[in-house]
Amino acid sequence: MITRRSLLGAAGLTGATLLAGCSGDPEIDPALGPMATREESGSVTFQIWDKAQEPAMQQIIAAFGEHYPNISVSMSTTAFGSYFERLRIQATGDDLPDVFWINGPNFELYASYGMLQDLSELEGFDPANYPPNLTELYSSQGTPYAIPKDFDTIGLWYNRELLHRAGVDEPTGSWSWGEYRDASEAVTRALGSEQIWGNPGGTANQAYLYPLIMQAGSFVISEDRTTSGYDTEGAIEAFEFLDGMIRDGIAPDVRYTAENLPNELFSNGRAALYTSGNWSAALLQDSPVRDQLGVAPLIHGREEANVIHGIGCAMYARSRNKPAASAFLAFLGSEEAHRIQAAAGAANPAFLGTNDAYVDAIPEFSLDLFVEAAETARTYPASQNTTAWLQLEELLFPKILGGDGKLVESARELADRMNGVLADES
Amino acid sequence: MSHDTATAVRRRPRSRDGLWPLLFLAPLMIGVVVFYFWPILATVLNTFATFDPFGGRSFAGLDNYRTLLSDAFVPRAVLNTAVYTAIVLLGIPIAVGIASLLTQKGLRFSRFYQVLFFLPAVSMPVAVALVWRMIFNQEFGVVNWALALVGIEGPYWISAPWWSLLAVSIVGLWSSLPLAVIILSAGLQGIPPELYEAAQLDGAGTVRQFRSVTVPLLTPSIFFLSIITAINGFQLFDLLFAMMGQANPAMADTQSLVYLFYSEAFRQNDQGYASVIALLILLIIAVLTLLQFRMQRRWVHYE
Repeated sequence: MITRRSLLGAAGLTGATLLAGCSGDPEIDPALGPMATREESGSVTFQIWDKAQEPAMQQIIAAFGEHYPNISVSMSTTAFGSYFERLRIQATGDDLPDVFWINGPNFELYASYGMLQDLSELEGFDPANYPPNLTELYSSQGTPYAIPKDFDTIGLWYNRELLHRAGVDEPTGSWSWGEYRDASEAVTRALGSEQIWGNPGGTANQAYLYPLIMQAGSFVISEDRTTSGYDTEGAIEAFEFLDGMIRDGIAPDVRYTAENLPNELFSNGRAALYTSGNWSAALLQDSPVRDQLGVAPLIHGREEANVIHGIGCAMYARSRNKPAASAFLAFLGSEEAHRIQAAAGAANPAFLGTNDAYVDAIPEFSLDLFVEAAETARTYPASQNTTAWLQLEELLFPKILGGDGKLVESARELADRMNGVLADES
Repeated sequence: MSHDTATAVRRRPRSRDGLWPLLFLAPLMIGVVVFYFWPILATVLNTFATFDPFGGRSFAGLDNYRTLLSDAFVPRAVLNTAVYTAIVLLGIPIAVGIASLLTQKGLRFSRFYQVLFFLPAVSMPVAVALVWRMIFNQEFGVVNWALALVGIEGPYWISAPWWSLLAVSIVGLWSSLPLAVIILSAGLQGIPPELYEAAQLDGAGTVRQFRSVTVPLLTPSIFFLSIITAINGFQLFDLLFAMMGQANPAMADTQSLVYLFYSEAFRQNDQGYASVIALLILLIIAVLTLLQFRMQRRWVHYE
C-alpha cells in the first residue's frame, strides 16, 4: 500500500529529476495570452481528487461544451490521499495538467515556485465575485493564482434527542465556551453510563483547534508567516479549555478518540455536540440518527472567529494549451458553473449569490448559517510549506492534549518545530 | 558450493568468448546497477544536498547530518525500531515449535493446519491492521474483554506509548510466522530420518532428539530467517501506519525509522534529510547483518 506507492513516488521523483536535468529549462512564457474563441478547437486536461464530485464536474464540462463545442476536456481523478504526491511528481517532470484543483495548504508552494499561472489577466475572472477571505487564500503577494471553487466554514452540529434527554435546550444562536462546556457536561453526566458523551473531543485542526485559538485572541501563524502561534497565551488558553474538559471527564481523552473517531461518535448518536464544517452535511445525511441532527452557529470565545477554506482551480504556468485552458478555467469560475455544482449538492459554491442552490439541495439541515459565517471568517492559515507543519500538528496536538501534565511544554515543542519549518521557507 | 563449480568460476574466460558472456550478463547487471547501485549512490549524494520541492538541488555540506544529530525523534525511532525487531525475532523459536509439530508424522488434518498458519501471509496488510485495531480496542476489543475476565483492566493498546509499540510488534510477529513456518518445514523435511533412528538407538527421547538433532540441523534455516526477519523489522512502516491511524497521541513516541523517513520525504518535503535517515537505516541493517554473519560460525551447523 503506502510503502509501495511512496517508493514508486520516490523512484518517480528521482526519474523525473533526471529527465528534468536532461531536458534543460525552457523559458516559461509568463503571459496568459489570448483566450480561445468559440470556434477554436483545442483540448484541456483537468485533474481533481474527489470521486463524489465527478458527476457534477461532468455536468460542468458538458455545459462548457455548449459554449466551446470544439474544445475537449479530459478529466482525471486521483484519490486525495495521493493527489499531492502525484501533483509534485507531475510538477517536477513538467507534466502538470492544464487545469487542476489545489487546496490552501499546498497553494503557496506551487504559486511561489512559478507552477501556477498568474490569473490577473484572465478574461471574465473578477476576484470580487468570491468571498474576500477566499480570494486572499488563493493570492500570492497580491496576485491571484487560483479561482475559488467552493468553501467550508465551521458550525456546531448537535443531536436534539440527546440534548433533550439531558435537559439541555437546543442551541439557537452562538454559544459561549462556557455554555458549550456546561451543555457537554450535562449530557455526559446524564448519559455517560450509556457510553454517550457531551462532545466527542478530538484534535481536528480546521474544525476545532484553529477557531478556538483564534477565538482566544491568538493566531496559528503570524500574518507575515514567520512565527507559529502555538506557544502564545491564546493558544495555551484554547488547549487548556479542551484539556480541562478531558480532565473533568466531560469529553473523551485523546487515547479514546484515537480509537473512536469523533465523527463516528457523533454520527452514531454517541455524542451530542460536534464542531465541524458543512462538508459533514453529506456524511450526516446518511447517519442512522440523521432525524435527530441539527446545526447552529459555531461557539465563540472572547472573540468570534470562524475559519474559511475552499478548493481552488488553477492553471499550469507552462501549459501548452493556454488559450483553451483559459476558456475552461474562466468557465469553472463562472456563475453558471457554480450554480451547477451547487444544485448537484456537490459543494458549497464560492461565487457570491449562488449558495441558495446548495442550501436547497440539502434541505435537512439549515446550511445557510455556514454561508453567513463566511462573511466574518478568517482565512485558513497557510504558508509556503504548510504540509510540513500540518504533520507536526498531527503528531503533537494529541500529545498536547495527552493529559501528561506537559501541555505547555508540548505546545512549545510544536511551536519550535513549526518555527523551524517557517525559517526554512524562502 | 561443490568443488567442481568452484573451479569453473575460477576459470579465466577464454578470449574467443569475446563479448558474449557480458551480453548474457547484461540484463541482470543493468537491472542491478540501475535499480540497486545507482539509487544507493544517489541517496548518498542526496544526503549532502537541500532540495527545492520541484527537483532543484543545492549543496548543503553536512547540514542534514547535523539535523540528524539534533533531532529528538531519531533516537526514539531507533529504539522503537530495535524493540520491534527484537520482539518479531521471538517469532522464530515459536515458528520452530509450530513447524516441528506440523511436520510430525501421522498428524491428522495437517493440510488444514498448514493452510491456517499460512493465512496471514495471503491477507492484505492494511486489512490485517484494521482487524487488529478492533481486537486491541480499549473499550470493545477482544483482548481487553479477555483481560477483564481475569480482573485486569486492559490498557489503551493502540494509543498509549509503549503499549502501542507492543501491540504493533505482536501483530508484526504474527504476520511473520507463515514465512518462517514454511521455510522451517522445508528445513525439517530435509533432515535425514536415519539421524533420528540413530538417535533413538542411542536412547534419545523426543525432547533430546529435538534438541540434539532437529535444532542443530535447522540452524541454517534459522540463520536465514533471522537475517530476513531483522531486515524486515528495520523496515517497519505500513503496519505501524495503518494500525496507529490519525490523531494518535502515542504516534510521536512510536515512530519507526522508515516512518520518520516517510514523514521527512513526503510530508516535510525535506528529501535531503530523508536521505540521511535512509542511509542510517541502510547502515544499521548492514552492520546488523554483518554481525549475524560473524556470529553464525559459532552456532550454525552445516552438514
